[in-house]
Formats: sequence, structure tokens, C-alpha cells
Amino acid sequence: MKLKRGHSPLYLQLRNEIRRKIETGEYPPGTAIPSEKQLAEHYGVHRLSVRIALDALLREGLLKSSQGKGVYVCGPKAQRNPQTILSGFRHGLEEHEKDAESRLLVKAERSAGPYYAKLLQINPEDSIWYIRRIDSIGGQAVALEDIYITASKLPELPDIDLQMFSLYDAFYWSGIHVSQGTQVLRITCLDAATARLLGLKAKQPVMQESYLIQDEAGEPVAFSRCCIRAEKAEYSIKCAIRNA
Amino acid sequence: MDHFTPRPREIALERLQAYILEHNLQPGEALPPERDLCQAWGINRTTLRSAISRMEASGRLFAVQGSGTRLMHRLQRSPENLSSFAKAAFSSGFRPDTRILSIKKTACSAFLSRYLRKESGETLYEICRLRLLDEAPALADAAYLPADLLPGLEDCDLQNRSLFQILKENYHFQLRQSTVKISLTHVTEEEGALLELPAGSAAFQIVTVTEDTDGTPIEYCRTIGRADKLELTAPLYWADTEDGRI
Repeated sequence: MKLKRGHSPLYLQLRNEIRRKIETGEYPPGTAIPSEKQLAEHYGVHRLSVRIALDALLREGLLKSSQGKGVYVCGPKAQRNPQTILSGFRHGLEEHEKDAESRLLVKAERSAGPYYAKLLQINPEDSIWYIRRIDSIGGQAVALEDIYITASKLPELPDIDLQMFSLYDAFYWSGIHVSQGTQVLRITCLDAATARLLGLKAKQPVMQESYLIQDEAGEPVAFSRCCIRAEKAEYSIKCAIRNA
Repeated sequence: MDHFTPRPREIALERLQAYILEHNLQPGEALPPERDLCQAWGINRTTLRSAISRMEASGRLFAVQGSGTRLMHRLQRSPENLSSFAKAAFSSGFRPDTRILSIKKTACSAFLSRYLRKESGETLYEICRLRLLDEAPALADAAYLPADLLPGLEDCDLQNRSLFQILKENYHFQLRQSTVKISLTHVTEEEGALLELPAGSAAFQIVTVTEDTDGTPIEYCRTIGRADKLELTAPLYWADTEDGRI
């Protein structure tokens, strides 16, 4: 669409145009929109007009900006983040949300291979997304998470910025209602290379939390394995007692 | 999007994990000879060894002198079986046994008074038990209960009945819920001696506070569980309401 001079102010026309692209999904949730410079060039307006156009959308919460990275489209907030888990072991790390930081080490496509194919109930040659990230609290690495996602369940993932949005948001935008899973806690130790990522030596114990994420139909969509430094591994759960 | 190719030893590790699932390998059962696996998967012995030793280090497999590598057998505890050690052990395929180490009256410490809503110095029962799986020590627990609520507890058959069973049947408590905290600890010299572990070994610490339907705390229990004998599982459910309120 071309912006028309002499009509309403250019920044207003541009704002409506971007809003339309968000609403129609031309700019999908979780992805970056073109830069200020690109928008200015494309629509033939001054960068200041672009900034004014975006400001209101940022304030409205339709967009979210990240210093030095760009401006991202916010989808509706998923209501099924781990914080809304009704049962299962609750992790103490959730309380540290404020100074918590997540660093993405790997976000790549790979073939499922025999093991993840079995867990995700797909074929070994099918594509999966592999994500590895490190969670830090107050600058110290505390958890290393590996996530394996059936690619066909979440085809939009390559464009979604996982530093800015949670995986649960991504599922939600894809119409997947994460609903259940099984969580397992084990004490284990990591090989030397992996342990180093957490600032540990090989053979130092960690708590390993693994779980399968299933959709409403009970079909697996992802498998997550998270290793947490011993001193940060605190879980709690409330168990009802059946009075038989 | 980048393409990720796992390294040969990671591929071997995944193959091994897939093998266990596909063949439904049961705890205690052995992997086929390494030679056969190498041949079937077209990998060399060093790569397979490295995958196996990683699974041994992580406690999934264990080597038996002269009879290959076997799948580790663990006790699975979940919210459903947390109240009965024997039930949990049977359903994981173990023969359970309980050794009562001591049962005595003790004064409530300042620490325990916070959990049991008793004043420091009031009388508690302290019950120390060692739990065995197939005759090997697995868990050591110390339970504290208000003595005034449970007259004559020391005369009950703690050897063969669960404490919860006794609380319900002998004392008619309606237990409502347990609040469980799980963390990773390192065993002390005494705990190590009980569990046959070197002092400082990593272990589960499970602290359970159980209350009755009035919300009165009835039991505080601290359990130390061997890392190689225990795993904790729980079903997950996410909130299932349109507006996300629980």
C-alpha cells in the first residue's frame, strides 16, 4: 500500500498499515518487523514518522522492542506458561524471574533420529527443532535446557525470537494447547563439556528434570531436559491424600 | 535456520537410548554384547564405549563384572505413592523392607516448631527408619510427630504398617495433604554409613509436611534417598481455562 500525502498524517496511515499487517498475520507473532530504516525507505517517509507510528503500537503492547535487536510482534499471551502448571513439581527458579536471563546457544533443525522419534512418536528421518539454552540468575548459569520439538507441529519456530518470547507462547500462536505431560526428576552428572557450560566439573551432580509436552489430544509435541545446578535445584509439590 | 548434526558419540548415545525404549528393556536386564551393537549400528567400539560410560556416569546403566551392562533399577515415587514406601516399592518391582532404627520421645526444636506448630521443648516422637529395596539400603528417613496427639505410638507395628495407615486406623486422623520439598543434598558421614555411600555423595532430600483436614500439621519427615535408587515423577497438567485463571 502507498501512503497518500494530504490525507491524514503519514505516521497515522503508517500506524494503521502496520496494525493491519499484524492483525492479518502478515507480520506473525514472535517475529521481527522490518527495521525503522527499511520501513522509512519502503513507504517513503522520514524515520521520525516511523518512530511515532511505532510508539503507539509499542505502548499498546502490540509490539515489543529489544535494545539493538529490533521490534517484535507480540501475540496473545499464552496462559499455559510453566507458571500455570496445576500439578507437578514446581521449580523454585520461577521466583527469580526478575534477574533471570536466558541465553540461546543452539536453535537449529535436525533429524529426529531413533530416540527422539520414539519419544515424539514420529519417524526417525522427520525434522525436529533442537534448542539449547542456558538460564542464569544474577549472572550465574544455573540451568541448561535442551528442547526437542516436532518441527511439523511448530513450523513458525525459525522466525520466532526465543529470547523475547516463551516457547509456550509459540505453541499458543500455532493453536497448540499444551495440556499435559509427565515430569521426571533424577540426580545425574554431565559429561565434561556440558558441565563446563554450567561452570561445573564432570562428575559434579546436577538435578535433571525431564518432561514430555503433549497437546490436548495427548500427542507429544516436545521433549525437554533441563539440568540444574545442585544448590539451585529446589522443587515443591502438594499431594492430596486419599482417605480410603 | 541452522542445521545441527549430532556428533558420533551423541548419535551412539541416542541409539542406545532408543534401543532401551524399543526393546522395552527392563531394569536389571542386560544390553546385547558391545560387539553385536557395533556391528548392527556400524560404529566403532570406542564410540559405543563412550556412550555407555556416559549412561553409566548418569546412573542409567551399570556394569556387572563379567556379565555386561545392565539397566539401572530405580524406585519411582510419585504423588500417588508418596504416602506408602511399600506400595511404591512393589509397583516399581522391588521387595521392600523397613528397619526401624529408633523410636523415641524428643523435645521439639526451634526449627521443627515452625513446621509442627508446637512450642520449642514440647514433646515429639522421633522415628528413624531405613528403607531397603531388594535388601539394599535406599532411603533413610526421620519423622517427627506431636506426642500429645499420638499416645502409645511406640507400641504400634511400624515394621509392617505404613505410618499413615496407623495415623488413620489407630488414631482416626483424616489426612488431607502433604507439602513436599525436593532438593539435592550431600550425605553426612552418618547418613552415608546407613545408605552405604561415601560421605559427601549426592542424594535426594525430600521433606514432607503432612496435615489433617483441619490443617493441623501431624508429621514432619525428612528423607535422604540414594541418587542411583530413586527417581521422582509427577503428572503435569496446565490450567485449562479460557481466561487463564486457575
